[in-house]
Amino acid sequence: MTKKIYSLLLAGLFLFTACTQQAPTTPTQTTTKVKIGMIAPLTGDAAALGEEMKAITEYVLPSVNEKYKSQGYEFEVVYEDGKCNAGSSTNAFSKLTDIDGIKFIFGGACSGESLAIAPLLEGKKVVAVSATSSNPDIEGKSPYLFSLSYNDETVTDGLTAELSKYKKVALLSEQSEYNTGIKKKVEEKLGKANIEIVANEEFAKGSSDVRNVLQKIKAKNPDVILLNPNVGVTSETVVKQMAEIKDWKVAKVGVFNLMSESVLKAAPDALEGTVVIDVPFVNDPKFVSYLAEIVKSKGELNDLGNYYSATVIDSVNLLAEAIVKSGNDSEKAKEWLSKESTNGNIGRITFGGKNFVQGITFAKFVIKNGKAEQSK
Amino acid sequence: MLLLQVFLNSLVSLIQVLLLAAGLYLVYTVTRIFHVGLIAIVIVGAYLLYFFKEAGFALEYGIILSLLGSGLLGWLSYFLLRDMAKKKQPLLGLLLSITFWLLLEALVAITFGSDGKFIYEGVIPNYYFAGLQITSTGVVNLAVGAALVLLASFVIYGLPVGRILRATHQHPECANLSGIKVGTVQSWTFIIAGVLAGTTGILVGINRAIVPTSFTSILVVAFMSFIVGGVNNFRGTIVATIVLVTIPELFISLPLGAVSIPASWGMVITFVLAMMMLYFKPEGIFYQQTRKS
Repeated sequence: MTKKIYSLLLAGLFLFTACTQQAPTTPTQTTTKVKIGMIAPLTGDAAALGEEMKAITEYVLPSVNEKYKSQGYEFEVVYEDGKCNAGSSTNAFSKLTDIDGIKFIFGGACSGESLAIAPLLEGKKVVAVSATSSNPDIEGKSPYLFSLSYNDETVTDGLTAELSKYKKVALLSEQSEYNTGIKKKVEEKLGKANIEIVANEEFAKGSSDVRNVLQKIKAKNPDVILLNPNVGVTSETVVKQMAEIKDWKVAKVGVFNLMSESVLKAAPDALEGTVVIDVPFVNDPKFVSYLAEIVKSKGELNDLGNYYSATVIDSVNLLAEAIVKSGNDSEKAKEWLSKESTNGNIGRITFGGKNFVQGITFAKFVIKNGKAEQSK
Repeated sequence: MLLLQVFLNSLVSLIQVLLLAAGLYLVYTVTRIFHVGLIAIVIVGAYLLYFFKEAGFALEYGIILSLLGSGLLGWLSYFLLRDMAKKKQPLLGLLLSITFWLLLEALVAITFGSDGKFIYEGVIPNYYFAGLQITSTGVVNLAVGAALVLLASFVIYGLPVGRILRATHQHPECANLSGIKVGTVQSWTFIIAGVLAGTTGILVGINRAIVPTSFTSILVVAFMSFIVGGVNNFRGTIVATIVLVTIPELFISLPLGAVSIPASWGMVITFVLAMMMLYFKPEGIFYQQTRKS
């Protein structure tokens, strides 16, 4: 009897379940999860640059995911330390592509990182978009590499124009790919303009004591000195140790990182009147307020500065757009990036078959009262 | 004048290298182990001072606490290496010492970040005399460093404790039989070496930016000086350090007209000098022959 009751109950339950089951009305949309790698210096003397890039990417990514959610895409970023050098960035690339199976990369951040991974991109059909690599040697290295940075060729035009106003020029450069690229171009252009280089000194990457090098330059009595250190601690070191030298009256011309807040604070008197050549500030109010939100949420972005903060945001948006438009196909994404145009914080982003974004010019800044002012 | 100025600046680096080399010498003397891990205590010494400064401690308290921390680390490293010393396994000891270094360096990088830090904010004030200049922190480096090196030389060569150290080095078993407590001598030596390494870190930290990975060049030169000088002769280490630090700096600063030797050649010249000296005197230029028992 009990068995019969159980059988009836089970049969009833089966019927009830069968009746309440509904046929699916619409097919559920599958989400394509796309991993994107980032190669940037997360340790070492240029770590500040990588940390700030990471902070911006972390801030921007949720809104990008929200934007492409309806199209079935979700992005995740895998961060790898390129240490601003060729060896580590190649290792990071291998890890991202071989282990994580990644086909899209933000970076490299430093020019040395980008130059190191450039020859590897085509073989693995990996697309890399750098926000900050500016070494002119990047041009022509790989059809899969794109940089939103200005080409240093542009900046060196401005630096040479400024240095050419003086008779005796001294160059002080850090031995990084970025700074060496700048140095070589300036040397070449000053040579063509018949300007005498009385001192042309280099110091090892990440040096924290350049006092003897500065003394060596001072002994040559130049009219102007090009300060060409990399981002981070070396910029502060150069400025501070230069300020230690008594009664050294020399005009100073420098690269973008001299406008970093920490460098400006390091030795404000020594930097007064220094001319810095960089790209124009991005003044679009929408960008400025968005950047302020990021700073509020993630902290200062002193080392990246205005333009590179814009390019980091643009690199995230651009690569996400390329992936979606190409249907997550790296070959098609490369074609799209190479041929199409889109809008970004830095203006209209067009590569036109080149590696560097086109149409970027240089601007002159003068440091006055501890602040960099764009000169007209 | 340029060369004099370069020499003066190089003296500051020389003192820092010499203090670390003194630590290496002391530990080697009582254990026959190349305790390269002392560089980790240099790093920790500098970052401890940075930490205490950031935490609002007065400089003198910061220095005292950093030195205490460094001594403690030196003592801990003794426990790490003592068995290797007892078993006469210097190679394994070196391996453990390297592990100790890399572990602490990584921990410092994780704790403090690997970007540069300045203990001294702003521009360091300078002293000027006879057309030369030196930073106030450079003066502190020279004064403290020179005093410690002289003290170390006096202790090693002028006091009975120096003989105890040498006896422990030459024959630990005999030293033990003659009433020397080898373990105690060794542990105190490690503490002193730790304090010397911590002092090096503090002196480096007040004079320039600190990055966890930026101390390696000090270790390389200190280690080479120690080897080139002859591992059992502290005076040799002093002479070798002077040669290996100042000559490359002076060489790259030579006024050669249009030709200029880049600063990055400094380390190359150091290596070439060390190679040459070791080629002609493989046991070190001031190595003292001792009777074997």
